Amino acid sequence: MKRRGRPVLGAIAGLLFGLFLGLDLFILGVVPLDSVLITILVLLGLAGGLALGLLAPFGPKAPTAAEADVTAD
Amino acid sequence: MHRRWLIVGGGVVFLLLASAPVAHAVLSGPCTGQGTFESQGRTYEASTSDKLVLPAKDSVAYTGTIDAAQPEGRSHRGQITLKLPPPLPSIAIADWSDDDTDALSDTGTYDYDLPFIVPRGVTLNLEGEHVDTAGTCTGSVEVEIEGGPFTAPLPTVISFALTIGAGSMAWVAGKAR
Repeated sequence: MKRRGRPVLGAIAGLLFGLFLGLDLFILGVVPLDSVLITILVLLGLAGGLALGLLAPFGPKAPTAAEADVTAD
Repeated sequence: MHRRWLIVGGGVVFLLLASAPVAHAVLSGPCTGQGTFESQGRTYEASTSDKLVLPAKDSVAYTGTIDAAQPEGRSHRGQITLKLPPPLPSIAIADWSDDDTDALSDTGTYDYDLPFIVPRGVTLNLEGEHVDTAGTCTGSVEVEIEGGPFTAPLPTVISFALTIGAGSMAWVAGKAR
């Protein structure tokens, strides 16, 4: 099966998302610097981004070229 | 393909190490130190202070001493750094060095002005070390810079923007090629 998403981009972007989300929470004083939640957020971001890239695409399936021709006719 | 995963895995290990818990209010070695913050009029001892609440800009009248059996002809160097949360870099507050000294103490006044990227109103870790021929001293203490997340709003806004940017990238990764 050909992958249609971008798992590497998803993993890196998810990791950064988790990292910056942790930084936001720290700056807002929600969690302390040594909180394990920050590490968990980074790992969850990595896993979530990777899953997003592997399971893509989401939403309604785009019509194939053949289906588009039939619709046009 | 494997190299990509190696890079991602390396990033995770780095983040886990960078997120390790920090020590609190520790001073080891044959040194003593204290500083009086001009705007607060308060004096803090390096060995006894727990969490300090400090201004972002101030003048500090400091005194530092070291015990040495043979004070002549020593060399020393030292530094004080403020550790910030990853991925922000550490901030160098002060550093000193001398290749030939007999002095067992030093006093003076030091002016500091923290850059805008230092988050306000949260607990950070201030670390210092003095490496001397007579012995090495290391210390760390928790500090909080006066103010809140919107006292100096730029780091907060930048952090929010980076979060939204990274989230958007992750969302794009979930779209069809």
